[in-house]
Amino acid sequence: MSDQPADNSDAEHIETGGLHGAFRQSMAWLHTWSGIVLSIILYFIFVTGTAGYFNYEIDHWMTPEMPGALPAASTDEMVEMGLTYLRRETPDATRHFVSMPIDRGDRTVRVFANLKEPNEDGERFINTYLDLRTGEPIEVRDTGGGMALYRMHWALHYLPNSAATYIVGIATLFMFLAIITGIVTHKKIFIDFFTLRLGKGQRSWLDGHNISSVLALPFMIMITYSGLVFYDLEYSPGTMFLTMGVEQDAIDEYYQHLRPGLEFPEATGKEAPIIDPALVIAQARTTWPEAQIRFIDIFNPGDEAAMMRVGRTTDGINRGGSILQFSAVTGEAFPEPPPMPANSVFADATLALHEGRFANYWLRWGYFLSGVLGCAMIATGMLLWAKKRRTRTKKNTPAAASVVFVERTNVAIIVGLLLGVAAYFWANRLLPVDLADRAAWEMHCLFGVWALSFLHAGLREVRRAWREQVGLLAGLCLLLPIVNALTTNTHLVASIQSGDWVRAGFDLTMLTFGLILIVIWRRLLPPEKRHVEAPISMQASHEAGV
Amino acid sequence: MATNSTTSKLSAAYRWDMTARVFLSLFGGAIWASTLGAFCAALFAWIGWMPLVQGVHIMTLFSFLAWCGVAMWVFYEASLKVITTRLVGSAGVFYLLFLLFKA
Repeated sequence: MSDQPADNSDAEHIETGGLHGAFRQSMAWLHTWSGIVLSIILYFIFVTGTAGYFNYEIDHWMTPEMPGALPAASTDEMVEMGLTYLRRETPDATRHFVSMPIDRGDRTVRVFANLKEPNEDGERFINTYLDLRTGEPIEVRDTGGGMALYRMHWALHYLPNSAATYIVGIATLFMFLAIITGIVTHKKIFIDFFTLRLGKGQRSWLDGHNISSVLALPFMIMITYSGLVFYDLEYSPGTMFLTMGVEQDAIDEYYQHLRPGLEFPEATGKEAPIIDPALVIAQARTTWPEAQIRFIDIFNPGDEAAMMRVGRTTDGINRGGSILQFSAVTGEAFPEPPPMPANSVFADATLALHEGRFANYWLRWGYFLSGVLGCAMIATGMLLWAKKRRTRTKKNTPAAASVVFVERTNVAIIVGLLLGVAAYFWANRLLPVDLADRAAWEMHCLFGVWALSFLHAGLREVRRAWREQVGLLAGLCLLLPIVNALTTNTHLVASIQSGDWVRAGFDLTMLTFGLILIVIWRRLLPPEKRHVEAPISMQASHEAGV
Repeated sequence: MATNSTTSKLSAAYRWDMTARVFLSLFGGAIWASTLGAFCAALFAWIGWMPLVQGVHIMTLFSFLAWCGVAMWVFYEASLKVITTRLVGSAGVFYLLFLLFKA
């Protein structure tokens, strides 16, 4: 990031007269400030959102009680298992939903029911995961899992949902503005693709910032814009307010337009048994011979007007995949809903691109690496901002003190958050399994360690704080598979032997992160220490001038 | 603008100018994008291109780009007076046109 255009591009001095000189100069200024002001929130969103691309896989690792291999069970058997449980536990529910596992470490049948009256916990729904071997709720440790990390990238934590939604929305708007202005300020976007000058101080950080931004530019644009589209009416209610109003009827009409034909049937009050779901699934299979059935959704079960929806796994860049609707009493297929209008298809595809549910493992890793580049873009921007102020600021002035403050907080934001995430994984293995509110305590560990990293960065000299926090992070990553082996029976070798590559993949990824962090940590050592600790062969090469 | 190279000394006028621009870009941009969206949605429905609700959705999706454009202009244009006049003026015109086409 820059606040003078000469840093980011060859400024055009022909056009002048704007707030900060030429148009490109003004946009460079805006790029800097729109990016830096909420950078801590943006970095948090990117780190947690990037981890969220592997939410099921992280869930699987964080629940070592879950079987490693998926027991052989047909869709019909899983549906029957789910509905048997729901009928027994929630006979008066207004909705029964059974979701089949997908091949991403998911090993359970998810069952969900809307209740007529709140239960003893005061909740109007139940949401449970059934063990495929027994058909009963699976006994796993209480954990937030990968879903809690994923959820934090839009709902944050310790905050009411509505407040978090607006904070994230404003941060996303700022990011969108920073990206657009960043593109405007770049004259040499193609050259930036290939330019990385290491060991050149501020110039290296600028190159790093440019490379991480430009390499994943389409991803950055897509991810920020689609982030806004998720809450379009919340973030931009003005057009709706002026034209249709914001009463419930108007909002219903709006969403009905986006998803035509998907209506919730009214119950008649007359009892009628539901048809065998296997017959409905067989009908759905005639429409989708190759597809995997993803869920069965029954509205008003036991009522004459009961409706059954059958959904398939995503069949392209869309969110829900296709849905077929049947009478749950007669099995008669309802007419297919009319096609979505083009604008709705566009919005749906935009959101599907954001979530990446359609992605296979190769593409999922592409999403993950693009997310990492996004984190790197924000982090290098923060470092560059501080670096520039450091070079411009005279020593022993109030401005110099504020630069030191920013440098310290940068350490705690960039490395400290990652330390917090690593601590979250450690807490999953080390906290007592029967601890009350265990999932909440895992989160407290994440934020507690993050808070401690601020304290540490505040007390130590900046370079030392970098070294120590990166070293600690490397240690936490490298030792995590060992902690896993000591506290569970799902250690790396056992996972590989049982063919549980999801769990093994998590351990291997942590080891890889740890090794990369060791390399970074070594680069942070003072040059003389680096030299002494270098392997003899490297020293010999160095002395030989190679 | 009266700024020091170390950014440590900023004049009160500069601070006021920047604060005004932040508010103008955030709220002025949102209001401008909303009135433009309302006008276009009503116009599309009046011409018969699409139902009002479809126009509202399209213009809501477009409003983020419009807001972004306003923010860029607000931080490029030198005169705060010009920004205020043009933003308020054009938003007012859009609103009147919206009322006209809605009727």
